[in-house]
Amino acid sequence: MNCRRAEDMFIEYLYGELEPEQAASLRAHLDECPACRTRLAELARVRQLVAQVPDAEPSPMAINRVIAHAREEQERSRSIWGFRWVKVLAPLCVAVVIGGLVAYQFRAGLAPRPIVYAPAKEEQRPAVQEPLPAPEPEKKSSPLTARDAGKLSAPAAPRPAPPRVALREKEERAAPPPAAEHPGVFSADQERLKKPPTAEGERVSIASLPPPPTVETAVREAAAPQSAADSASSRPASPEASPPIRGEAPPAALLSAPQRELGRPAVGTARAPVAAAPPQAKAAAREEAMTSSAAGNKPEASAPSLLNSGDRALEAGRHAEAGEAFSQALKLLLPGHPDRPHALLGLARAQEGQKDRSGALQTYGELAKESPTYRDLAEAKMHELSGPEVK
Amino acid sequence: MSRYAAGEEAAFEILLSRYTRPLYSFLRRYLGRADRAEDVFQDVFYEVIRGRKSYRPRHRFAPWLFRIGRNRAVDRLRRNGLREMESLDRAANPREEDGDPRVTAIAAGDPDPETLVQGRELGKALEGALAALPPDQREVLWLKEKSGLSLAEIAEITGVPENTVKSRLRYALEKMRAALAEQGFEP
Repeated sequence: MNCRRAEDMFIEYLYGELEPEQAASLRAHLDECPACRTRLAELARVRQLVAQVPDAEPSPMAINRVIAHAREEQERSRSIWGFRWVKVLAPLCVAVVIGGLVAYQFRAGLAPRPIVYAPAKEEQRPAVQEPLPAPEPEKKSSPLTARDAGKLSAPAAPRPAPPRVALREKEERAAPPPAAEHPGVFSADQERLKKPPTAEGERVSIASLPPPPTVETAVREAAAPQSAADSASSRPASPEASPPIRGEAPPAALLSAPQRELGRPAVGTARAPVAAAPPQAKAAAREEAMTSSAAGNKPEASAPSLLNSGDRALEAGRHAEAGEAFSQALKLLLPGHPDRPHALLGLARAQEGQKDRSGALQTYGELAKESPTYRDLAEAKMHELSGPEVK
Repeated sequence: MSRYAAGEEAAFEILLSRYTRPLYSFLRRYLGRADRAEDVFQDVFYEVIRGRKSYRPRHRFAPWLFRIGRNRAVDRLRRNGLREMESLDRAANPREEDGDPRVTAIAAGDPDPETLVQGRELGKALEGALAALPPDQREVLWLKEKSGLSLAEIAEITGVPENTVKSRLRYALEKMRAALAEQGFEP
């Protein structure tokens, strides 16, 4: 290898990017050529000196702005994604629930409305009435007392519907016992618990099974836009469909609006007296949660404003004011809070501005301990501050 | 960067702490003024934040970051209508401009007063020599020394062949050596 060829390799050799075999041949040349050796040593020394030139660094405000921007973006993308999912999932859920409802109603023969309101056709009647015998044995074997069961079964059997008031009374009386026997168990489940194996056919058992609470709730809610009278008028025409369900909970259409309101939560919870609480209790709980969360957020909400005012004061050179703002922010931000490095940096900077060297040293020390992100920066600052020229 | 691109928020702060100094130093040298360097520095990281989802892990982060940085810096200089390379002291000695004489002490890494004076003088000579380099040579020298990029990556960022990067680096080091020797500092 000649000197010119060797010189071409100097840069890659200095920066460790030379292939091993080329490096070996260059070393062999250097062993024989003192001129190249000296030249390479000089370049290496210059390189070393350049590497020692300290890096410049941006102001903490610039870093804080970048961090704040990153957080904003993260939050924004999170909320955008959440919103997108809600937009996609909400109609999907509604479609699934409605589809399920319709399918269930048709399977269970619980879609009487079109049949009821259709012009009377003789062939339709038996279809609607067929499930009629089914509830009977089931009611007898229901967990209700014999008295209540008898009363309940009475309106179901005869063709003419019982007067509404009487039915409501019976249902109201019928309501408490299951709750007492199995508190906390869904009414429909209670009935299933007590129900003996039935010899009825498949169709009967499906028809007699109360729909799951969600379905019932959805049925009621779907019926809600209709007037109460409308719903009530449809019931006598197909009383056979309702008793297995209605024996558990008061029929929505037969209740006054407030009662309906109160009765609705009873579907999946205990019974009417207990169920009377939920809407108000829920509202109260929600309100309480909101106020408590608002109270809980209060320090969180004020910390960013303190940080902002600290930043502004720092930029304007009002170091005392900035120091005060960052100190207050630090009181609100517990160790580990992502905004603490921001506050510590700001405070240290303010202390530097106030020539409070020991305070700044201490704050940078805290920053170095708490934030790996700013450890380098804090340590460099500590190094600067502890230098002799500061005196 | 892959962790940040995957949504790990803390990873961004790690990136920031790792690359703040090299990137800002490069921009500071390239643009000559602290305010411009700071603006561009923020723009670069804003672009990193915006582009995190399009980041491909097979590419190294540093070259990507410095490419953005260089492009932004070039745009900034174009917008200002000049390729402004400042006068020696102001451009290349940001700490001195800020009125901070400790920089050279740190550079020398020695608190002894006599050595400190020498260190300060050496620091000044170094800054002068750096500032006297042609911009293209200074750019590659600074990128190589401070960013940890390979010669090939620097070639890609600066848009010149790798051999050109090598020759620029060699010329830069030789000119630095000559300038320091003129100031009485024989390397």
